[in-house]
Amino acid sequence: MSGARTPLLEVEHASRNFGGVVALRDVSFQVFPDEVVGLIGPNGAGKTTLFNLISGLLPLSGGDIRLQGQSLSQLRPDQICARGAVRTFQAASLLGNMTVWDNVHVASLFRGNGGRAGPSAAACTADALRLCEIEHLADMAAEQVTVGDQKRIEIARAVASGPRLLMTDEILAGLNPTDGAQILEILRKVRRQGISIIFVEHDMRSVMSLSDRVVVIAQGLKIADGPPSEVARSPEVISVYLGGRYAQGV
Amino acid sequence: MMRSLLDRSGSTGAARLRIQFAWLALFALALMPLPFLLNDYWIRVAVFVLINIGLASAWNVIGGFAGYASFGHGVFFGLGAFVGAIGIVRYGLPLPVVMIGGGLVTGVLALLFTPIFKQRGLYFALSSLAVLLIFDNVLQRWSVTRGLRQYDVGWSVETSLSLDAFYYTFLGLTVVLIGSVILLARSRIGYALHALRRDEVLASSIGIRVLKYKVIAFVFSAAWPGVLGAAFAPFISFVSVQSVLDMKFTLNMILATLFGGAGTVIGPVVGAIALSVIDQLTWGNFLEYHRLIFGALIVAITTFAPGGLVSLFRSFTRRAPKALAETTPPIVKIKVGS
Repeated sequence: MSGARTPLLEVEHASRNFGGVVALRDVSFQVFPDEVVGLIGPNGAGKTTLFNLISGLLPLSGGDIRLQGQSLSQLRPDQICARGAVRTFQAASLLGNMTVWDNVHVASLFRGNGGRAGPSAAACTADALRLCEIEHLADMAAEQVTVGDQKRIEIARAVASGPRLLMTDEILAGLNPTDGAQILEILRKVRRQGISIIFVEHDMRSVMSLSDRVVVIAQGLKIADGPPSEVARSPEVISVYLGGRYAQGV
Repeated sequence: MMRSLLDRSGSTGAARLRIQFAWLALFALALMPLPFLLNDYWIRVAVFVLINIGLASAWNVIGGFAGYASFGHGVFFGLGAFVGAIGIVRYGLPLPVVMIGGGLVTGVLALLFTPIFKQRGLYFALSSLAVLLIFDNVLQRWSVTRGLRQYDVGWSVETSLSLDAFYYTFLGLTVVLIGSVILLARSRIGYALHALRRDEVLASSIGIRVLKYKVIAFVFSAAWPGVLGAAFAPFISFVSVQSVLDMKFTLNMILATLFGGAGTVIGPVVGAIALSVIDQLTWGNFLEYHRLIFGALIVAITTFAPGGLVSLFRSFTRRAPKALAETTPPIVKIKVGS
């Protein structure tokens, strides 16, 4: 998948300490255009910390992160979003008292910090709602929709920001299998639009079915990086995260 | 489908805006004949109500829309009054000019507050209160703000404007102010403020430069009290620190906003009118228990309807669909319960 192409995202020796606690240590990997990278690891491995570093919510303690060759380390979260790296959050963060349309439209209005030429904000909002199959909920209060629809709103809002890279943080958490399958289908459609995805998830079937490549981190260290089938057979990954039962099922 | 969604959203937004401006026009038209119907006492009361509506609507932009409770906002009203008094008395400037000057001075001054926006919640509120106390002290001791003569403690502002003229001036200012808040609420700025009030991390993650929009909201909400304060100077005839930097102006802004409904356009308008009516009724009928009744009502509203009178009204109107659900056929109820 990666070949000799220019990487979209380069994480180089990224480290993050919280006082004496090392949350991430010397983690390096790349994400290429149109690629879906599954990011897995046990709870507390550092996956969300890595998202926070990429999206600028936390500063790096060491190393560098580059998007399309440009370092993100000195940029604010809004500037990083404007460059095209957009994320969702573990707990759906909806803007209460706003309709579904407004929840997505707010991202369209600040697409590229408002300076990017292209379709109108309303057109971007309509596109994102349609992509996530929630156009019929447009006028509904966001706080009244189901958990599955809340996740769709999260993705629609991220897509409305005009990302080149979408980072989803446990987007399937709390969903039933039907909703989960629909969200995966939406992510496939997102990918077909040329948007790369980093997909943090604990549901291994979903990770394996969606990802072109899987990066595994445990205790702040990267322990594997490769095609899903290869990573699933890695003794270290099986020992640290997947467990023997999963390996037998592969 | 997409096209129709796009059209519908556009027309819904425009329709909402038209409805809000229609209500505003109705509000203005309803208040226009009051000077022909009321005596001077009640016209003065109406002017104070209009000022309270204006101040609360301005405070609501930073306190309600952005969620930053400024306890020092009376400073901007007081400074506006000093700009008005000094401009009229010392420089002989006409009222419209000092009103614009009051807004510019307080708007620019508000920019100096940018560093305190790194604080949040209680710390921001305390910092803004400290700023009020600092200004109170400086203006009391500064020779420029004491008056023209050595022994002055303030500025006597003579004016040829009639009470009716002041009424229409404040009515016009209030209507324009509310109109500007409506436009702001439906603009990118309004969306940004709503987002950052709910979640600053989320707001920054979807491309909103949080500090920039907080400062815009603060400048907006500081400039309007400056304009109102400048117009207030000739209305009350005497401007001193005691008369225009009183804590009650700040408290009125906050109480009216919370009482009506913070973060909504209509809330501060409803709150200011309701509080003024309650104030007048308690002063007139229960003088000795005025503060007790006034305080108890505020506690009751903030306790039982933290979203203010507007949310109380909305909760009543939203009960209708629930009542309809009661008529659901029994067979459906059994299915749900099993």
